[in-house]
Formats: sequence, C-alpha cells, structure tokens
Amino acid sequence: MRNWCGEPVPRVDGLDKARGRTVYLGDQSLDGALFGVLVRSPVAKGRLKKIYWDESIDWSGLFRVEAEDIPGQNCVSIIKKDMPCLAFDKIMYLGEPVALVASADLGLARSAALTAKQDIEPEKPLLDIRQAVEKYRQEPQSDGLIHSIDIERGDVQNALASSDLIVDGEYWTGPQEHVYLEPQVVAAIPRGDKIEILGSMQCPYYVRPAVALALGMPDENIIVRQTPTGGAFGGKEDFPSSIAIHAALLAQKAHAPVKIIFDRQEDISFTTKRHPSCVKLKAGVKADGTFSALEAEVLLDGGAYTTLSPVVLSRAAIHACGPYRWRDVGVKARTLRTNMPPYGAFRGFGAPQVHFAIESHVDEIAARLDMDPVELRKKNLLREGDQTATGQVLKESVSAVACLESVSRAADYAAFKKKLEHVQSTRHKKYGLGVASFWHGGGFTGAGEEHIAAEVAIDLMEGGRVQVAISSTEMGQGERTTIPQIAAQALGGIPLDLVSCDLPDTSNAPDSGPTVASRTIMMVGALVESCCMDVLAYLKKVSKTRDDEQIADWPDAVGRALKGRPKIRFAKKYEKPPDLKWNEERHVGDAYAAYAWGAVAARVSIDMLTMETTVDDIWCTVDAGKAINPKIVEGQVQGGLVQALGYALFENLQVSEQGAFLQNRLQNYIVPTSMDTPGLHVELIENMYSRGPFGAKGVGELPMNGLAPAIRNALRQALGQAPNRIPMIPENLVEQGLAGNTGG
Amino acid sequence: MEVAVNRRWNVNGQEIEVTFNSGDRLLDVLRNDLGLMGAKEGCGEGECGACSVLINGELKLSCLQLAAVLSDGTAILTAEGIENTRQGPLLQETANRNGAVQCGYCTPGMMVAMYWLMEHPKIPAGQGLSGNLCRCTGYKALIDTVDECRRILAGKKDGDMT
Ligand code: FES
Ligand code: FES
Repeated sequence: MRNWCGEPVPRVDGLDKARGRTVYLGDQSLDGALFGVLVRSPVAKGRLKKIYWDESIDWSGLFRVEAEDIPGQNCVSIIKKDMPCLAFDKIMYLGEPVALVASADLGLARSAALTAKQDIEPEKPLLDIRQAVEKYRQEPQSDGLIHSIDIERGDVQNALASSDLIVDGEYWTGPQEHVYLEPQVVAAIPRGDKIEILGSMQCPYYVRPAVALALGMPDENIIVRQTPTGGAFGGKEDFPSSIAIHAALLAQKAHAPVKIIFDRQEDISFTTKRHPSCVKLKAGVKADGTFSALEAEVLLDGGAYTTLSPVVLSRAAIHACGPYRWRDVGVKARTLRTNMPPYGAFRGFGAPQVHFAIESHVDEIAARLDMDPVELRKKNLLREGDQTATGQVLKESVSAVACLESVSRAADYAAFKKKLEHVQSTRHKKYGLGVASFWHGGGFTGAGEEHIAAEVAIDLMEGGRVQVAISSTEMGQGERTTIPQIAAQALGGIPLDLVSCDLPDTSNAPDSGPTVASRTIMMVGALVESCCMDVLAYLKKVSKTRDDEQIADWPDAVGRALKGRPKIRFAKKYEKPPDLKWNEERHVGDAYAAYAWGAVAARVSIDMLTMETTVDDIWCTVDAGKAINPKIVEGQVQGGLVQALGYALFENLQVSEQGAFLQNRLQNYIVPTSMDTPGLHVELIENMYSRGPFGAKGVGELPMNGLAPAIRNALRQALGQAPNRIPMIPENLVEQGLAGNTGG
Repeated sequence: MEVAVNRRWNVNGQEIEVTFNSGDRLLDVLRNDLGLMGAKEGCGEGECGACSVLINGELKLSCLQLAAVLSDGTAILTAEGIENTRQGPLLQETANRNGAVQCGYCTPGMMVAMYWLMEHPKIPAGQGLSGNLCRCTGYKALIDTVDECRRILAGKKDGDMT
C-alpha cells in the first residue's frame, strides 16, 4: 500500500509523447475525410447583403454552407446566444465566418472559398480599447457594454475623503495570444443519426450542446471525443465549439467526415486572446501605510460578442483589490464591445490584468510613503479571518504573507537593495529587483460550481482495474497522471498502474464540467476522492474487510463486486457545501471555495541604449495546498512564469486601421525561447485546504498573475519611474518617456 | 510545373524509396508519404522547431526543407527513430522524469534537438534548444534534461576508458 499523493511520478502520457508516438488529430487520417475552410468577412463592420460564388468553376466534389443552410439555431451558444456560427446581415469583426467550403483537396477548398464575393455595406468600426474607453467615459450608459459588475463594500467615497494619502493610477495591458503549439483542429464524422466530434479541446460538454443547438439535434446525438491536445491555456475553452459546429455543418451537407485545421496565421488572426484592459485605481491610505479604501474602474475590451466575457469580468472585479485588506471598496467593472474577434479565456482569466494594476499601484503607494514595498505589502496582505472585497471571510489556507516572506528571503531582497545603491549610477545598464504578491480563486466564481453540478464516475473492472470517467481533459497540465494518483491513494494506496483516466468521450464520461478555472484537481479531484471512498467502503463490505484494515487482495475484492459483469460504475455528484453563500447580483459572499497564494520577485537589468529588459532571475513561492505531484505542480509554475514573462516583455499585438492584428505569425508575435528563460527558483508551500483532495487547491492559472507587475516594479526601481503599460517592449518604454535617462 | 521525384533515403536507419512532387517540403513527405507523424507543423515558416529533424546529422527544419534537393543516400532521423539510438531511451526517460514533457506537441522536435545536443556537447543547452518553442514547460526542465543526460553520457564514456 503506497502513499501516492506527494509523489513526483512521471506522467503516464510522457514517454509516448517523447517517442513521437502520440497521435494528435492532425496526425490521424480519417477515411474519406474532406477538409473544411472558412470564408471570412473582409471588413470589421458592416451589413452583409449577399455572397456571390463563382459558378464558372467546377463545384463537383465541393460543398458549401451559408447561414441560411443552418438547420438549427444560428449561434454558438455559451453564456449568451449572440454570436452567430455564420454571420448574416451584421458583420461585427474582420474575419468573421460568413460561409464554409469543403473538399477532399485542401487546396481546392481554399481556392473555391476565395471565389466568394461578399456584397457588404461597410460601417465605421470601433477597434481599439483606447477608443472604447474614451467612448465609455463620455457616455457610460451607451450600448457599447457587454457586461457590468459593481462591487461595493462600506462607503468608499467617505473613506477616501478621510484618508491621509490618496494615490491615483491608470494601468493598461494588451491582448495576449495563447500560442498553444498545436493549432486549432476539429473533425466531424456523420454516424447515422448521430454526429461524432473529435477535437483538440478543453470542454467536451461545451462543444456538445453548442453543436446540438446549431444542428437542431438532441444533445445525446452529438458524441464528443477529445483527441490528444497540444496545449490550450484557455484558447481551447470556448473556441472549439464554433469550429466544431462548422465541421458538423459541412459533414452533414457532404455526408462525409470533415476536418478543419487552422494554420498558425489563421489561428493567431481569428481565435480568442486575453482581454486588453484599462484599470484606474484610487487608493486611500493611512500615514502609517495601512490600506483603507480602494476605488477601481476595471475596463476590459471584450471584442465583438459576449462569449465568456461576463465571467472573465467577474474574476477581474473580484481580484482587482489584490490580496489585501481594504475596509471600503468600490469596484466598477465593465466589458466594452469593439469590432475585434471576441477576446476569451486565457490562463488567469481576468486576474493577470488587474494584478498588473494593483501590484504596480502598491509600489506607487510605497514610493509616496517612502516605505519599502515588501514591508508595505506585509502590513496589508490578507490573513486568516480577514474579509475580501466581496465580504468573504477567509477561514483557512491563507498564505499570502508566508509566500512573500519566502520569496524575499530567497531573493535576498534586503542585500540586493543595499547593493543597488552602488551599482546603479555608474553604468549604462540599470538594475532592479521588484516583487509582487498574488492570489487566485480556485474553481468557478460564486455559484458557478453549483450550476455546473459536476459528476464523476469510477468504473471497476476485471483484474482490479479502475477507470476514472470524467470530462476533464488532459492538455499538458498532467490531469491523466494526477487524477489517478488521487484515486489510487483514496482507494487505499493500490498500485498506480491499476488506475487510469482516459481522454473523455461524452458517450462514456459524465459531465464533470469544463477543464478551466484551476478546478480540475481542487473540485473534480475532490469528487473523485469522495467517489473512491464510496467504492472502498463497498469493496470492504463485499470482501469482509474490517473498516480499519486494508483490503488484502484487491483484484479479488473487485472480482467479488463484479460478480462476472465486465464493469460496475460508481458515481458522485457535486453538492454545494451549505456554508458557502453567494449573491450574484451584488457580488457579495464566498466568491471562491478557496484561494491559492503566491509571491514573486524578479531581478532585471535594462540596457539604457536599446531599452531592452532582461530578466535574470525569478523567485516564486506558491501555496496551492497539497502538491499531489510536486513535479507537475512545479512544471505548471515554471511554464506559467515564462508565459507571464512573454506577456510582460515581448508579446505585442497591434491592430491595423482595418481591424487586423499586425502580428499574426510567429515571425512577428514573439514568445519566449529557451534563451529568454531566466533562473527559475520555485518553492512550494503546502497550506492544506480542508475540502480539497488530500488538501490540494488549484495551481494552473496562479503563476500567470504576478510576474508582469514584479518586472514592472523592478523597472521602476531601475529607472526611478515606471511604465504603466504592458508589454514593456522598448518602443512602449520610449513612448512613455522612460528612455535616455542614463544619469541614475 | 510539378514533376514526380523518386528518392532512396535512409530514414531512421532504414533504406526507403519514396516518390513525391518536386515542390513538396520534407515535412509533407515524412508525414504524408512515409506516415511518420512525429514531426509537427507548428508554424510552417521556420519559427517553432516542431518539425525539427536531422539531415545527415545536421539539425534542420523540415518545413523549410525542399525534399527534392535531398539526394539519394541522405540520412534522416526523426523523433520516431531516436528510441533506437544509443542515447535515445536515456533522453526520453530523463525528459519524462524531469517534467520536460507536458502537452507533447513540441516534444518530438525537442527530442531531435536534444539528441543533436548530445552529439555536440560544447553547445550550451539553452542555446541549442532556442530554435524550438515550447509554450508549456518554461524550458527549465528541458535544459536540465540536456545537462543531466550529458553528465550521464560523459560519465559512461569515462567509465568505458578505465
Ligand atoms: S513548423 Fe517548421 S519551424 Fe514551425
Ligand atoms: S510541452 Fe507543450 S509546447 Fe512544449
């Protein structure tokens, strides 16, 4: 009997991947499959009157679909139903799909799609968050809002008026592209009255109802199977639903399997990205550094349609005050509509944007008070028993201070600060060390987990084999390894190789919810653990094992339970703990069941001639509760940090006057390489969460939150003034007047 | 005009004969004609390294490589062939143990680059992997894997000599 939780066991899917044997959907040939391509609108806004096809070409073997051919509802259903699968009448962004073409020959499909002439009456688009913010500030009640959330606690105006010091600031963040290495890919295969969808995805049970609605079919007739997924990071949360519908529409028309594969340029140009943001903060502080009141205006660019923006906004609003104690809070959060492809989920989901603002702002407050930024944070960080902006009392597993102390110790913060006074003034290179604290709520916000009502199942099979059936997906984060570790341990420490967790198939796996929101281990893992406890109790009964004893012969006990059947299934459904309360309308109450915590320090140098920033070392300590597989947790933190490094320093997306992203290939959209990887010093603190599986919380998104402001704060120290906009590419630093100051 | 080209190569240690169009990229020939799906197309323009292979021992991007210019007798090693090399199993197992494999999409290309780095021990790991993008791992586990395998292989060699 073994203790699996806490073991850095190698991933179950790792060796196949290393041997080049894993078959991704693009590697799979489907009998008789056609390739589907999208016809996209050439303008960002307008009225589409008609599509003319070139009938002089040979259309035999070619299939096409327009909006009027859609048998069900013409929408990609997620939170709202405002986004059409194929635009008709209204064009809302450049590249919006208006029609589909399929052929066995990809080249032919592409050239046929190019013959489509769209008769469009163009209108003036709103493309940029700057214009959108300006418009919103002039007329806040306009129709340009996708969603609004207000959080109020105490009396923020009064509290600001009676503060010793008021600090204002405004912070901007740009869009970020996921660059999962495997571009979007999906296939639809007609099977009698059913349609099977294969795809690289995070959420099979988002795809299923979306396809069913558009095709006018019952949910059960859509079978969704996840294929090995080459990275996702949120980019395969809602987006696959839309191309799954496209493939299904074509497959139905052609009575043949249809595959849609994006190349990198199409992928960067037209799929979701992290929401750009503008966050305005006004903080009221006491002379001794105690935080008292915070007023925040959080504006996100949502792009053309609602998609996931309301929930992204909610997470942004709740995390906007940072992991700090404020007595009075007023948050006004809005998602603005622009004529850009809808912005969507990306690791962190609204939290990285507001962390950039609040963590930069804390350093501004420290500067005004002439206080050390680490000391100022320690004074105000949330502790057990404190209340968050939504009035949630933090009852357990709070590690904000411990993480910050660990990081400043590891980075030798005090010594560095001393040394800096000598090196700074003599070089054309300047140095800085910046810190940031961060947090991340695990699981869906508010009543989200209750609405999802996740279900898991455990199948017992011959030979004592155990299969965990859940819709949670493996996308590189280690779910197929970590979930079996939880199950093997909960079943009494049975051999790990008896337990498996396959890629989900909706005809077998119950809906355990989408693979998002750092919820797979914390929420789904907890259900798996509790389901396993039912299994264990049952097996002890049939094998006549006493409660306090181990089952002596596991395969035999399972055999007795099976009684000759090939398998038996146990199931468990989420039940909301009675003490969690949430008021969605007012955004008051227990926003998350538990929070993960972290702190990060970055040591940077900046070349004053080129204004290029180099990050030399990153120290990061996180508390995500029990690290079920410490190697995997560490990998999540390291990978998240390097994504955050790109977000902070390189990943720049500009929008052309027509509404296209200027950086739409890997030649000009720059992500970190191995040469950019600084020293990564990660430490884990395990502050157990009582309802998590063996004490675990979520870790997937957390490491994305703090690094950008830590780098910014390091630059502040180096330059004396700070950029308030990311990415902090040299051009942006120059534009903000930070160049040329080599005096020190 | 495209014409059919016929070549005899040594792919992953096996003599093969293949016919393809004169304009085909090596990536297409490997995937479509030889059924070797290890090399992936992550960008198609030489930026990501997911399509990396060795051509006569040189690290190359198969998405930028015109297949027709590779004459008869060319030796090609893809991710699938690494397992049967001397260093292969060590590299693959160390990578997995170190957490250098996450989503796995960059991995075949990475393994080829890592194998090449075993043959070129003077090139620093971080530099040698810089043509291969990985969006999952943050590179540290990959770099550590190269360093660790080099140490082990160097140790073995010393051992052999005494
Ligand atoms: S596919 Fe060849 S470098 Fe990206
Ligand atoms: S493991 Fe996913 S891109 Fe490298």
